[in-house]
Amino acid sequence: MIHPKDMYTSTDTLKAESILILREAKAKFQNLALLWSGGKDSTALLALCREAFFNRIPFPVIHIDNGIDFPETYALRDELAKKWNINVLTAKSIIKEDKISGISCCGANKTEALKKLMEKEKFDGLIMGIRRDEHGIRAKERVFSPRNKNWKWDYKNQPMETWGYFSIDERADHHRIHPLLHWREIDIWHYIHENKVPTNPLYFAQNGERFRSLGCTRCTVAIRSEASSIPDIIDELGDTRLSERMGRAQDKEAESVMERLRVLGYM
Amino acid sequence: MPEDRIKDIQNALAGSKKKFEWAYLLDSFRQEREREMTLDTTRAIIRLGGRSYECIDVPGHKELIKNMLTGASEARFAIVVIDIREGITPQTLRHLKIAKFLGIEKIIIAVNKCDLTKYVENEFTKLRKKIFEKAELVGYRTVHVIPIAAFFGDNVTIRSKKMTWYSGPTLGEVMTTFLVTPTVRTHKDVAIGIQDVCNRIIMGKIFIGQVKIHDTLTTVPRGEKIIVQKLWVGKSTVNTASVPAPVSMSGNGMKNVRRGDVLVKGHSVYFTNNMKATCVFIKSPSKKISIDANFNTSKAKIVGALKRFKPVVIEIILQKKIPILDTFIIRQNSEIIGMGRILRESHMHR
Repeated sequence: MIHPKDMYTSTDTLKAESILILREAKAKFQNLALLWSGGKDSTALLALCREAFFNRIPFPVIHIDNGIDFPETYALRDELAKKWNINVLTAKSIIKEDKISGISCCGANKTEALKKLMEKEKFDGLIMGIRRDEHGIRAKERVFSPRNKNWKWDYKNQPMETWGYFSIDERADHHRIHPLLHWREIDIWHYIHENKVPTNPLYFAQNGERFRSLGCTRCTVAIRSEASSIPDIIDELGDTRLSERMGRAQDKEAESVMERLRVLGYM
Repeated sequence: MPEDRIKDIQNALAGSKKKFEWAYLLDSFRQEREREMTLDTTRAIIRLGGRSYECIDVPGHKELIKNMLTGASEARFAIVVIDIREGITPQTLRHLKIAKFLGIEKIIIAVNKCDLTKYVENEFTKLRKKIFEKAELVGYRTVHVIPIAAFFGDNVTIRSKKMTWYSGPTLGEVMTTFLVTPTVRTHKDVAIGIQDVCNRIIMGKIFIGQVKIHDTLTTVPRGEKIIVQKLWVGKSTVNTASVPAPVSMSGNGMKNVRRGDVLVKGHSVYFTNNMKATCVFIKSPSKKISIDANFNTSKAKIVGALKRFKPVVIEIILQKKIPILDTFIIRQNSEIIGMGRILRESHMHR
């Protein structure tokens, strides 16, 4: 069998699949970039790239900066850039005071900033750290996901992928590449722990609160938690009955916000 | 299932006339909920008997077979859901044939909506007899057939109080017996597909067996000998590595190795330009197709006409020989339009 898939008892199998995807992406696309948000998933993704490409990250890393990320996020970005010799590109987005709902804030600001940078740099593949278990809409994504000229996600007609082979749509403006789709939140923490991946300190509890999912300062809400280390977080996730992104305003089902955002090109 | 996600769905339904359905947890597109059908594959993790299972939900309709294949080709076992009022449909049979083609050996057939036939035993036993007959025709000699009422949870993980006549296992119980820890197959043969080469270090994926330092391997297609001197999994140096590890290697005789080569020991690779294979197509192929196997590719031609959406045996002529282990995919331009398995008996091993 080409694509042996064992149960997720360790991160080795998950890692093998991600590395295969990253190397395929490098072989199939001319001009790749990786999207880094400051959160645990995209930081783990950077560490995986170093495993896939022998300690190098052979493409630029984009940070969409709306100027209101947490200071800890900026500090981590600069630390990683230096430590891992990363070529960081910043996509500046301007935040407007009256636009703070999911659609106009994440949609208009972050997506527009990324579009501008993409027009200039002409990337044909964008690597991102989304996972299926984060959200019902993200769970429907492909590993190589084409976006057309208007950045539309044609979710009603997604290409076939199987046995570790991925379709490429030659008419696409670019493809999104999702090497972490099959990872769960808890797997990411196991990987970070085992590999000592630098972590945004906002994930660890202070005064009874921590962030479980990180966006910008505007739309992210802390959860009640006493978990002040990675093993604590892993324990906490073992019993939780609440979803990871419950503190993220742009996900709420009532408005199908995530579906609309993704169709429009959101990450 | 996260409590807040269930609550979100209930809130979303509050304004409409629809009542809560479990399907909405997986059918997250608005259109899927409005049309009450699954359009695309998705996954969800469930916990059962202290272990985690990743469930892959796939659509049933013929036109959506590409989405079904995308999901089902990753599965270890399959649960085929049948509506007790409809019985076995052409769609059920198509799915069974495709599951067989994909190499899924273990099948559960869940006969659902038993509440709508008032939990009557006879309705179920009549259908079960037909299911056994049809399944055997497809090549499944043993299938588990379980009467359930999924909406109420009868025989899903909790034994039904309405169907006390059924003494067999629940769906959950069968799933637990299916999941055994995979034994690492000791394989004398080795096959490693090469994905990338950088600074004389070759990087690839182990498809079969185990590789050790000082191993001598043969490159396909050029037939050169290489000796492994340094071996890494990810960034860590190791002495041995086995399936499915992503490996990097350096050593003697590697200067001609490039992406698409397969490094082998033993006889696990076909190297051919003319093959008989079982394939499933989701589109009728045009003249310009190519075959991809293990990071290698060749232009190809199909002999004869073929039908879509079901396994067919065909002959494929490749423009150049490429190493194939067992499975391959068919591309038109860069889009995957089919998948195939080489027919073992019709080919000599290299």
